[in-house]
This record gives sequence, structure tokens and C-alpha cells, in this order.
Amino acid sequence: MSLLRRLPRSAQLALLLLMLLALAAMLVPLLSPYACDQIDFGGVWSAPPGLQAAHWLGTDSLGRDLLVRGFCGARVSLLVGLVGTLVALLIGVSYGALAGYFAGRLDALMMRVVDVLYALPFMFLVIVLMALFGRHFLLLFVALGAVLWLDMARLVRGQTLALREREFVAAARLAGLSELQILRRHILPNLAGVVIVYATLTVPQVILVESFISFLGLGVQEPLTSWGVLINDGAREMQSSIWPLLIPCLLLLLTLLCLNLIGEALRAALEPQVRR
Amino acid sequence: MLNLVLRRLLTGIPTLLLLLTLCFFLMRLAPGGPFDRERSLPPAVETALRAEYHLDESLWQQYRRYLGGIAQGDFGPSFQYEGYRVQELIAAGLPVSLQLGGAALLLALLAGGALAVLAVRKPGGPLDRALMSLTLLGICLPNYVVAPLLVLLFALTLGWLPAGGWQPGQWRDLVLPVAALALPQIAYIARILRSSLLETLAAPYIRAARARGLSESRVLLVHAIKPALLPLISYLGPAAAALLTGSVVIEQVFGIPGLGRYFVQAALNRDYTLVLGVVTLYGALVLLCNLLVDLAYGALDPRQRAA
Amino acid sequence: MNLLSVRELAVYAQQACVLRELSFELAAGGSLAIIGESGSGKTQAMLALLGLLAPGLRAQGSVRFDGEELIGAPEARLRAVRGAGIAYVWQDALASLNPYLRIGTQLGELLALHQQLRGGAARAEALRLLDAVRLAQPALRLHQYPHELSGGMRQRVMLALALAGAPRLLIADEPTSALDISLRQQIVELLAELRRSHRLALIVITHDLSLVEPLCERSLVLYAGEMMEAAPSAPLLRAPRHPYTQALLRAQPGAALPPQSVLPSIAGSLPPLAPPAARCVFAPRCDRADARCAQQRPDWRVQAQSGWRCHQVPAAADHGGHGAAR
Repeated sequence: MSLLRRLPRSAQLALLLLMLLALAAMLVPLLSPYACDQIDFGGVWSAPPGLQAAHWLGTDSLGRDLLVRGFCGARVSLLVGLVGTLVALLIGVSYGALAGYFAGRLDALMMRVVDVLYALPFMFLVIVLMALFGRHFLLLFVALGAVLWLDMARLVRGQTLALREREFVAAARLAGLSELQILRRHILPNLAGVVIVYATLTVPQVILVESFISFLGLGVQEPLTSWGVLINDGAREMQSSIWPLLIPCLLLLLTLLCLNLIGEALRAALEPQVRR
Repeated sequence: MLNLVLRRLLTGIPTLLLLLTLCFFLMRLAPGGPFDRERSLPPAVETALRAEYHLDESLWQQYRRYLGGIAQGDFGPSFQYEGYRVQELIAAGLPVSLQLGGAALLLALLAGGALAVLAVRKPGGPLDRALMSLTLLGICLPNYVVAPLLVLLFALTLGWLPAGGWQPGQWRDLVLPVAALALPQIAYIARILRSSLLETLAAPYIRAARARGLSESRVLLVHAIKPALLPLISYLGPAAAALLTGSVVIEQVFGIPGLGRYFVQAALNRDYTLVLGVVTLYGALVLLCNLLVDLAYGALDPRQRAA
Repeated sequence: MNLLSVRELAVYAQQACVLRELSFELAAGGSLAIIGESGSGKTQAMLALLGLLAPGLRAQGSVRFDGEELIGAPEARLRAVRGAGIAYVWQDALASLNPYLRIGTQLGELLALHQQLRGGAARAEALRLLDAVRLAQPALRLHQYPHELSGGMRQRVMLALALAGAPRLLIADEPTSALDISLRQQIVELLAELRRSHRLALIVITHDLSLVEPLCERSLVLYAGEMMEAAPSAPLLRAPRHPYTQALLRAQPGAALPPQSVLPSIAGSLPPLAPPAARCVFAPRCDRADARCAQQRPDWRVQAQSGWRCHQVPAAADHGGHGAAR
């Protein structure tokens, strides 16, 4: 909590906004009289915003409520962002910590693998994967995690290499702790700072990649929707009405902005500790 | 230097082979095939087609045949575009994508560099803070958001520029796609260069240069620029790759006949050879970019050259 | 008129006082050693002269160079003085030479800026300067990068860069601290020679007292941002008045000591940065301090060519051989 108070006002505001957004994503589709994919045949087709209207922000060309759809998309995008980051985190941290902690030849080999993977055009592989295997939600997570764990692994490995030379690790070893115990009790907790910062900055990346793939029509599938899908739909209709494009764009922009602000602020707040 | 190039070629070939192999078997694992249609083909026709494209052989045989072809510079026939070899399709699409990506990279470097230099004039000052807020916004606006918005504003509302299309020699066709592709990169480049410039400007040799009476612009452009460029250059490898992937979207939005547009269609249609060809090509481009980054590193940092 | 006149120069970091009431005069061609431990404020004082204090530090008082006030002067004026009027030789030659530029490039830009020399004339002058600092194979050096040179060679390049602006005052910040003992002697001799041949005024910042007498006629001792003592170098080193100067001399490794004895040191450490104190800054470490030292800041006392700031050394009492030094 003291960390929270140390963050600049802009980051605190961003955090608040983000929580409100998440809350809205949970509640709006629940409380609204319209469902995500409910078609209102009598509904006004994308009127300008107004609270008197039956649909506050109008509807898309199929008569679906834009406000509700925007937040339905938020559900998926935010969830994908969180879960995708978690996958990247899990793989990246365990891989990096193992390589860094055991150092030497194992480390060299593991990092060589990372180097090779870095040289692969991953976005293309993801596109191929999604195009070939259909649009499984689960597959999307795996694909995203697979792309984004590399940076995390490198970062964690570097930190671990530095940590294992520290006195408290030597002390723990003298106290008779096993290597795995040391790794779990002494190395991993000390990695928390870097990992938190990096994870915060990974969430927007995952959201970006997901919406990129969905934009191409390869990601989330109806009846589910995400911001990428909505932006793609909106772009196709923009000659008749700009709202179906603007609303998901604004939501996406706002979310990414908040996440980046928080991430940068956390980095500034935690990094001196990390370096020390 | 020659040493580095040779070493990179030697490690690059297995990397590409790995990529190729991975993709090859991944695609064959996937359900569906290149000849699936709404209405299934008569069995005799399908058998004939499969035989013509050697799909009736074992996977291993096909793999060996494919690699053998590549060794001779042949990436096989396209399944989707009848009568074309993959290399012919690539030769048609690649120049377009390169032109688009190259122009965007150039624009991003020039604009991003200029913004960074402006920002470090007075770190923490109003201009710096305004520029950094703006670039943060830029980072949060991916090109598939920028592209339709630009079309909406400049093509549909103002009518200044075409909303899409691609005719050789028409610079007006280039403006919007290049801008959409470059905008997020401008933001990244400006932020990276700004922070590396700030770090360099704090170095003792910069203070020493100032103490010798050099002007601030000389200090910045002669003394600080080389070391400050190093982090940017390591970013440019992946950034070049990002521009290439970005062009997948941009080409789709603007209807540009580049490689990226082929690619998504090809993957959806199970055009195995075309997908493989494009993936391999992009893999090679990424490797090439990384090599160029390392060469540039050596050229900029005399201490690296010795090592 | 003196070449450099510093009056009540002070440097503040927010409320903390880094330097307080520094005053001295330097004639054209004159020389001064500024002696003190690291952290005593000697480098900050010199950076303040050039308007090069780090952001967050600010200078007060007056610095006149050749009659022109430098404190608060516009950046353009300061730039004209830097390099061309006052040249600074930095402590760490490796860190102070741009590792990305050839020696020739770094020399050439200064010759173009300060002496309007370009092309062949600039090259000839660059070679002459490298020769003047006794750097072997000057033509080869022009094409080399700093990391390709040895420590002593880099120090000579630093001196050549300083001379490139044809300055009237050279400030050398710990010119020998990074060098081994044999090189140290060579650099000291070179500095003395350059001073003569280029008619330079010289300020040497050092904690190494062995540099003082060969290079500087006068000396000034700084402690925690305060002037402790100022005097001609010979009497200052032979018969210091201030307890701090005395302690400093005792702590020099070169001092004559009986074999097997422990090297003396000054007990305690520099006080942390603080607002200007109403006491003698050295009192907590001084073996002669009494209650007055802890409560009242001593005045600057002047006698003949010497000055000091200490309650325990009254002006009336003649402390040994200063008369002879006059």
C-alpha cells in the first residue's frame, strides 16, 4: 500500500480508471437490458450518443447495442491480457530463473534456445497457427504466451545471475537448504519487483497482439467479441457511422494508456531497489 | 567483420531450417487441406490433384522433396494461384512490402529522432513532457487503429488522399499507409532515443566536452549521438520485423498487393507452399536485420570493433 | 588586475552547503594548489567557475575572469570562456575522452572552434600540440581512439585538448591520481614546462601534497566546503598553522616516519552535507577543539600572505617560520 502512495498522481488515477473499467466490463453487460449479441430490430441504427435514446451510444449495423458490446469486448480483451501475461510469466520466470540459477553450461544452452526463438518471425507463426487450427480461445492464450515469454525469460535470467552471487544465497546454502529450496525461498521472492514491473508492461502487449489477431479475423469468434473484432467491424462500417469504430478504439486506447502509465510508474518506483 | 558475417550465416541456416521444419509439420498437422471446397471435388479429380502436387506421398517424402527444391531455389507451386511458383508470387509482392516498410522506417527514424532531440533540449520541461505524453499516446495506438482513423479523417471526411489502392508511381497512395505504419514506431523511437540521449548526456565525457567550450548542438550531434544511437539500433532489429508484420494489417486495410495480404489468405486456404515461402522469407529478413544491427554496432562503437 | 578573482563563492544543493565563502586571487601566470580530501568541495568550486555545476546545484558570489563576471553570465559568454579562457583537465582521462571519436577528431573540433584552424593547418597544429605534450608518434595518435592508448598517453591527450583553445588558465583536477608513480613525475614536469612555455596560470586540485610545491606558488586548504588555510606553498607545507593542515600533512604516506610505525590518519570522516553551520566544520575531528569551536564559526584571519580560519591559532601569535617565507 505504501508503494501505491509512492506512485505519482497520474499513475494512481490510471489505476482507479482501470479498476472502474474492469468493473464496468463485469457489470454493464449484466445490468444492461441488452445482451452482447442481442439484435434490436427496431433499435436506432448508430445514432449519435444520447441518454434519452434506448441505446445510449446507438447500435451497430446489425442493431446490437454499442455500449454493451464495447464492454463485452473489454471482458475478453482484459481477460486475454491477464491470462496471456500469466502464461508468459509462468514460462518466462521458471525458464529464466532456472537458467540463471544453475548458470554455466545449462544456462548457455537454454539461452541459445531463446536466441534461436528470438530470430523466428513469431507473429507469422501465430497467424499460421490461428488460421490453421481454427479460433480456439485456449490456443490464443498458448500462442500469446509463447510469443511473449522470451523477454521475461531474459530479464529474469539476468536478475537471477546477479542474485545468486549475493551473500544471503551463500548463507542459505551453508544452512543446508537444497538448491530448489533456495530458488523458491530466496531467489524468486527477490525477483518480484522486476517481474511485477515487467508483467504490468506485458498486459498491454498481450492485449495489442490479441486485438491484432482478432482484427485480422483470426482471433476471438462470434458470439464472443473483443476490441480487435469490434475495431475491424467498425472500420468496415465507418462510412455509414463512425461510432462503431470510435468506441472500441477509445476503450482500447484508454486501457493501454492506463496500463503503460502504471507500468512506467512502477518501474520508476521499484527499479532503484531492483538495482541495489 | 567478415568473421561475424560468416558466423551469422552459419547459425542462420539452421535457424531457418528449424523454422521451416516447424512450420511444415505444423501445417500438415492442422485439419483441412488445400483442395477442401464448399462442394467436395469428385474423388478422381481430387486424387489427380493430390498426385500432381505430390500430396499422396508420405509426409517425410514431401518434406525431402520440398527441401530439395529449396536447395535449387524452387519454393514449389502455389496451391491457390494456379500456374504460379511461390518465388514468382514473392517476387511480385515483396517489392511492394519493402517499399512500404522502408518508407515507414525512414519516416519513423527521421520524425522519432527529431522529437527525441527536441525533447532532451530541456529535460522535464514543458516541451519534453508534452512530447512524452504524445508519444505515450502513440505507443497505445496500434497501426490497425491508426489506419482506419486516418482513412476516416483524410480520405472519407477531408477527401485529400485516396482511401486505398496501389498504383505504381502514385505517391498519394503511399501517404496514408506509410503514416499508419510509421506512427507507432515514431513514438517508440522517440522514447528510446530520448532516454538513451539523456543517459549519454550525463556521461563525464559530455561534461568535459562542454567544458571545452563546445556548443550544445555540437555536443548533442557529434559527441552524444553515437553512443545514444546504440540502444536505438538494437531496437531497430525487432522494429524492422514489427514493420513487416504491421504491413500485414496495413496491406489489408488499404488493399495493397504486398506479401502480407497474400500471407493471411494463404494460411486460411492451406496454401502450404506459399505460407512456408513467406515465413521463410520473413525469417531470413529478421536474421538479416539482426546481422545489420550487429554490423552497425561495430561501426559505431570502436571498442566493439577491436573485440 | 588579477586574471582570476573569486569572492565569497558558495555552492548550494537545495539547503545543504557544498562550498562556503571561497575567496582567492590568481595573477596572470600565477599558480595555486587547492588541497582537500575528496568531497571537500574543491571540484565543485572549479565547476562553478565554468558554470558547469550539475543540475540542482547553484552558485552564489562572484567570479571575475579577466575582469568579466562569470556567475550568472549568459551561456554564450560562458562558452566563450570555456576552453579558450579557462581550460579544465579532468581527473579521469578515460572517462573524459569521448570513446566514440578519434583523438584527431576531438582535437580538430576544438582547433576549429577556438582558433579557426581547418584542414592542413589544423592537422599541423594538432601534431604540434601532441608533440608539446610529449606524446610519441603523434601522427599515429590522431587516428586512434582513447581506448587504444595507455593511461599516461590519455593524460597527455587531455592536456593537448586543454591547450587547443590557447587558454590563459589551466585547471588540473587531480592530474596524476590515476597514474602510477613513474608517470606521475613525468606529468608533473610536463605541467610545469607547459606552464612556462604557454604562459599559463595554473590551478591544481589535489589531495596529493607532493604535487604542491613543484607546481604551485600558493596553496589553499579546503575542508567540508570551508577554506581552512591559505598561504604560500612552502611555508604552508613546512609550518602549517591550521590543525587540519597539520593532520593532513601527518597523514601523507611520504612523511618521514620511523620504520614499522602505523600510518597516521585523521580520525572520523567528512561531515554530511548540511546547512551552513555556526561552528568550526573541523571541530568534531580536531584534537585541539574546545567548546568555542563547537559553538562559533571562526573568522578568517589574515596575516601577511597567509590566512586561516581557526580559534586555536590567534593572529597575534607568530607560529614559526612564516616571516622567513615572505
